[in-house]
Amino acid sequence: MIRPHLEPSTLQRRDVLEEANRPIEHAYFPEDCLISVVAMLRDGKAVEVGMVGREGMTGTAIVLGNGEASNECRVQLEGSALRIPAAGLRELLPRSASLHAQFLRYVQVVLVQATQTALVNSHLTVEKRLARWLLMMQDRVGEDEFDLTHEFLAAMLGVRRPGVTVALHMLEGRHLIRSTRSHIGIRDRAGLEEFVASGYGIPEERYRRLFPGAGF
Amino acid sequence: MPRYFFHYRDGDRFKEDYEGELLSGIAAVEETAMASAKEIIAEGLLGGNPVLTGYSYEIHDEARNLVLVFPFSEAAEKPGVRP
Repeated sequence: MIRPHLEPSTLQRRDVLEEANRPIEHAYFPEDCLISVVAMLRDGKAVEVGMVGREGMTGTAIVLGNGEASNECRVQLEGSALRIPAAGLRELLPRSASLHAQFLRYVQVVLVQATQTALVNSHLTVEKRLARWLLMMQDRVGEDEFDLTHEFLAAMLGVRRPGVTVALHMLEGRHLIRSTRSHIGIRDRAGLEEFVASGYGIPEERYRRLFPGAGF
Repeated sequence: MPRYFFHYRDGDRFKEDYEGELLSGIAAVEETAMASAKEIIAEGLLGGNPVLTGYSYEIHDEARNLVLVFPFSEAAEKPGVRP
């Protein structure tokens, strides 16, 4: 029912799709790009609180009714997405209870992701948070090699940039990843999962329970 | 602003910082190294590990001149801005 209203769009790295406290213009459904949800303090300090790939959508505030973004949504890996204008989505919701319910289930996953992120930010080391982040990224884009700058990773993890070099070096020392010039590859996914242990997987599990047919 | 590269040394192992970071000068380099090392040491301690004092940042400028060696032990012993 939503299909005919979706239009293709190409997203570039660093495009801002939503700004905190501003009305959302479009809801995006990534196909092969990755979007970061970033919470920010008034002085500009930021940390990532969620990520959205082919399993999800942006624009959840539209689904919740108010339509004003709580956080910033920024493109991390460029690629394509389908999108629908906020007004179009708002019109569809009351016409299909099942569509609305499906979006609300996804909002629940977003909440689980944000709360888990808060938990790991206070309980896991930078090295483990980085490992978790790489696993989550692989889940959402399906690739195992990414072009990522340390500057960007530092902002996502909420640490000083040189610390990212150190954390990557440690994960490399455990033979879990390969890291070269702005390029990070996953070498041993099972090893990464074992290393992060209980810090990874709860939002993904919840997603699979709520969307059993999605192939996630 | 010039770009500085924070290479990381851990005993015999060395990790090159390919990317670097734009900073206003040596004072900012030292402040960044101090804050980052404090962050890493604090995390290590909270994780039950001893202070990683054998580690250091070897910071080079764009011309590959060594501008500062910053042993993590300095971050354990000296005050600095909050990371």
